[in-house]
Amino acid sequence: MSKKFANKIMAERKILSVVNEFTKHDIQLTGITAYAISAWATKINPNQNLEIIELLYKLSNLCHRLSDRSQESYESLDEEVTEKIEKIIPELRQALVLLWPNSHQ
Amino acid sequence: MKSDLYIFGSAVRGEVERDSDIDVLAIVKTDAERQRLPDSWSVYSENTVRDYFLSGRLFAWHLHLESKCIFSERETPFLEALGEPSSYVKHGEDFSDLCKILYDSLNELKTDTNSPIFEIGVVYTAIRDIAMVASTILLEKPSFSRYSPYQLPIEFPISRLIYEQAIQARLLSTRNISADVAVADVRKSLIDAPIFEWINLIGRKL
Repeated sequence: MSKKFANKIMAERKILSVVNEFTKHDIQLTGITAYAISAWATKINPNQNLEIIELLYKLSNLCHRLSDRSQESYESLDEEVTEKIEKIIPELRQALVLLWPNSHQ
Repeated sequence: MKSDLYIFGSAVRGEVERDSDIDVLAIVKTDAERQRLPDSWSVYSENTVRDYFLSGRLFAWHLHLESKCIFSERETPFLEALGEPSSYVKHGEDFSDLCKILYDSLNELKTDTNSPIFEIGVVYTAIRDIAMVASTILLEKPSFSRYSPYQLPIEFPISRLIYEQAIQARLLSTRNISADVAVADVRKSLIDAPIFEWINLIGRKL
């Protein structure tokens, strides 16, 4: 059970790490669920940052697929899904650089 | 609606807190059904659930012991028809995997991660799940409570206050709640606590 949980945690950690390189402590992204992204979007003014939010929801859906939509345990880390996540991360970084060019810590 | 629907977890135990939600499980036959269901629900295919029961996974035992069917078109709802899961025998493997997750997250906290709320939440989840695994051996009946670490016969070295904060961090990461987490205090408490001594004591008994 938990190897898959570990893989999902690693994917989420990587995404959060990229986003939170650009954020200050009080607006850190706390998770990759739709709820966490929505709360974060409200804080950073989503009207100006649509691309980032769209990318995050895309990543959220991919992470969700890794878990078989379970809130309790996590299943089947599909290599194809992992590759898709890896491909989106540079796009996410680029969108963050455009949004906050001086905030990279 | 063709899916069987269950509630499971804290509500079924009667363990309800202000931040509790109702865990809903849908057991679906097709992917089309899956797409129509709310994101917040746990959704599994019939085959997956059947596999879990046959292989005796802890989650199967959780569902067997702590779920209530709220909708089914079958004469006998799906889980009831499956009966009792096979014996849970992977406690050693699960324990080891969870310890690794815990170790990694504590290490992230020690090295000043830029996502401390996420990591504190993972620490809570790993600790809770380790205690759940241990409860299958150390208690008369498995405990699936968020407070399972305090139910074991081995003293848990983290105060309730800090543990509650870690729970809030997990909820901030996964659900739609607002909560204040004293990140610096919780981080320091988790790093300083002798968590791996507690883990070693548990490990000796498994």
